[in-house]
Amino acid sequence: MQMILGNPWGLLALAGLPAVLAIHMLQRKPRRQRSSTLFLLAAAAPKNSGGPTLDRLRRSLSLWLNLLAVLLLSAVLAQPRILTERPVLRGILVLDSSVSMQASRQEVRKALEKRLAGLSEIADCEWSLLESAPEAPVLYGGGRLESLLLAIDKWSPVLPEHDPAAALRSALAAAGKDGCVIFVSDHKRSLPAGTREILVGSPLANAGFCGAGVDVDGRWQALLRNYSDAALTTAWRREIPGEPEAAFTQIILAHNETRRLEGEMPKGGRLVLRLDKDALEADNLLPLLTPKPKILKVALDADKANLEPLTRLRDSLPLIQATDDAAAADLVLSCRAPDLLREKPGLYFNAAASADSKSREVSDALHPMTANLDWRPVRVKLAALPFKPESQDQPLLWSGEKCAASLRYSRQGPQILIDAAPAAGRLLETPACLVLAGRLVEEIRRRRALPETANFDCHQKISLPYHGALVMDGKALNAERTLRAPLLPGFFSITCDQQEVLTGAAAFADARESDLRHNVSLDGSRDLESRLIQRSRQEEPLHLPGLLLALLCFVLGWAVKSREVQ
Amino acid sequence: MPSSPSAAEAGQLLAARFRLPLAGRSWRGQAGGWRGAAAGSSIEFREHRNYQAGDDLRHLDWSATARTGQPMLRVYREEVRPSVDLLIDGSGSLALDDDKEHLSRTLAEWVWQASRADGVSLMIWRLSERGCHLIPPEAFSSRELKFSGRALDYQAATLRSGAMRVVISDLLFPGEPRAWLSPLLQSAGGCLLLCPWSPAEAEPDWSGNMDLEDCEAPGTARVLVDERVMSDYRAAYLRHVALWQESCTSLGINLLRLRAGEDPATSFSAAIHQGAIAPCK
Repeated sequence: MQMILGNPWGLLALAGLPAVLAIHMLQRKPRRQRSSTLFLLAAAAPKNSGGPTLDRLRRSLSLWLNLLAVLLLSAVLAQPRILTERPVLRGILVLDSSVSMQASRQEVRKALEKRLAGLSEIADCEWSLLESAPEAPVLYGGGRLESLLLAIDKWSPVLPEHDPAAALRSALAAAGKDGCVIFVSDHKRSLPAGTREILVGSPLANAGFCGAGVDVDGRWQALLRNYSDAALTTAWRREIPGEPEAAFTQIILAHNETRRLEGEMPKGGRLVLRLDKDALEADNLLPLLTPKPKILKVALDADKANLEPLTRLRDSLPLIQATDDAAAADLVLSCRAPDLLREKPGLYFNAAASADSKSREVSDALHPMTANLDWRPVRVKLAALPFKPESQDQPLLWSGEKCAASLRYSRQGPQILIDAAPAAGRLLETPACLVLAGRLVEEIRRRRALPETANFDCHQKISLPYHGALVMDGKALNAERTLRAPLLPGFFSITCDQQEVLTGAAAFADARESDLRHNVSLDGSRDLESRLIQRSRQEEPLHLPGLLLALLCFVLGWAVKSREVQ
Repeated sequence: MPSSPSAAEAGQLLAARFRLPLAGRSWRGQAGGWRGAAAGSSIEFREHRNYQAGDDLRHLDWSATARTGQPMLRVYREEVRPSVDLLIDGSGSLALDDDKEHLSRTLAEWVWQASRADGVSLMIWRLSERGCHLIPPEAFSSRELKFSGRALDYQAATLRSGAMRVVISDLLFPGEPRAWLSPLLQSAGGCLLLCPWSPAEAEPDWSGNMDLEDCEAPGTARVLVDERVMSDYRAAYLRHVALWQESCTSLGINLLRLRAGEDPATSFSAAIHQGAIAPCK
């Protein structure tokens, strides 16, 4: 059996006690009267031993009745209840896995410890501790508060800004009608209906790196931002592996300022920019690598008439190496049908004579390769003998009812077949055609299995053309899951069959997570107690009798007071 | 609504209906309009008696002498002027409130008016804490009576032998009534106590914390009054009144208590049967 207060706010009525005392003291100010019979009163009147004020209060029956009435009314309003059977609460706590929560971890622990302890006093609680990160494991399940807090201590939020709705819906489904789902975060957002939230953040000033880049020629640039509405002083330094640590350089950032830092990459190709400690650690580290992209070998296969435009096209492509060995090339630029080089990826033009006497307009076929390209200036004269189509060909461009260009995937890679000569019209001088060629080259580069060094954002998707078992920093990667850069800033490497295929640097670049100005503190789960009390079996011993007694005391007090006045 | 009469008017009205109980008493003293205790020279026949040497022969009743054979003398009743000593309590308690003060002045006015109407030899004494002050009847004015300070010691007053003592006092002072009353009766030709009282004394409006100001002396008493205190006070008041009434009864003094705020004629009418007040003929 346990006594609880159904409405603790009712205790505010106790403020009526000093009010009643004050009213009585004011009402009982001594009255002055003339008397001719003081000698008769002398024997009857008592002496004031405790002072007039104390005696007034001590001897006034109406005062005591009024005080008793206020006490009873407070008790009735507070709704004391005797729980004859403790309710059971099955709750799911979903922790916001956003990296900004790192700044509020201690607050999360304190808030949950206090809140859950309060709930444990009135109910038998069964908690599940989850993260908002999709597919994250359950952090804790059970009824021991100490173990739950231990799990919170071990918890590390590292995700960028993400939508917790999926995790919350799953939690709501698991909690059922009688359970509750509490989302713990540091800032407000719209949540699925039925979710309660506990916000534990407080507005904080923060500075951090929000973007970086390194040129192939070895020059780095980094953006440093002040996420506060006031000027902020911080310090930064460069750290080069194998070299002694440099001293911090102080820097003063105006409110909301974004400052660009730049410099030369060290010879080793690795550099770390470090910011002095502040509210959020994740954006204080910026690892950088001198990128080493994949270089593709490009071969030309053209007759004299078309050699010149294809040569110009090849020379305009980035990160390529010209070769005469078409068999060894990674891609070819050809003006013949791909019959000769059956599987070689590349761009194939049809140099056959055109049947049309005039050029025709083309329109794109809503393909990613041609998306957002303006084909209106392009005019083509389609070859009289078009490329032999295959069933898996994907149309890219249409000229009237005829397919002017199509995409074909051979076993070695993608091919684009254009049924027009490169020298015809000004096909290769139009921007859309050049961009299309560039997209093809990048697609071929992406699919080419070559070692690479690059800079990434944290949690950025990585696409690798390897089919073997991938291992990132010694940890085997799940082939079914999307390959992503690490969640926290740092260097990493990926090997395939013990061959290093990618060396990368992951940099934190989520400005939304770094901005801690909108953090708030709020407890949206205050209704849980009343709901639990409503669900539990209980008795209200004071409700009606207390109310009647309070009324009786008020009436009696009033009657006694009236008598005293008369 | 007619305005209430002044004390002088009220006393005059009372005197038109009621008089002091002078009749039936043996008066001696100056010649006046009242039958004296001794034989006198009035026209009212009193008795026959045997002639004694030295009697005035003008009073010889020849018819009785012839009838009895003895010289008989006609004796006529003496006509005297009654004397009244009026003692007015000049303490502040007589003016506790307006009604009581009005009543006190009315009673004094009534005694003065009634005495004048009856040709009474009146001596007026005002008793105050400074002593007894004689007020010449011709200079008396009830309006100028002062009620302040304490009283009441009448020992300094020169009370006349055989004079009727009329006292106007609320008798609200501590002490043994008999000890106070006894000297008043010495060689007195009757005694009448006119005692005005106020409801504010019998049933005061006291509750809770009170600052009670003594109407006869400077100073204030802060008293916490509750039901028990009020009950004790009521008992003490009634005991005080009863003690005075018993003492007066045992000493043969007429005590007439008159409630302030009420017409004293009512109490006077009731007192006629007791002989405390005489109706006007």
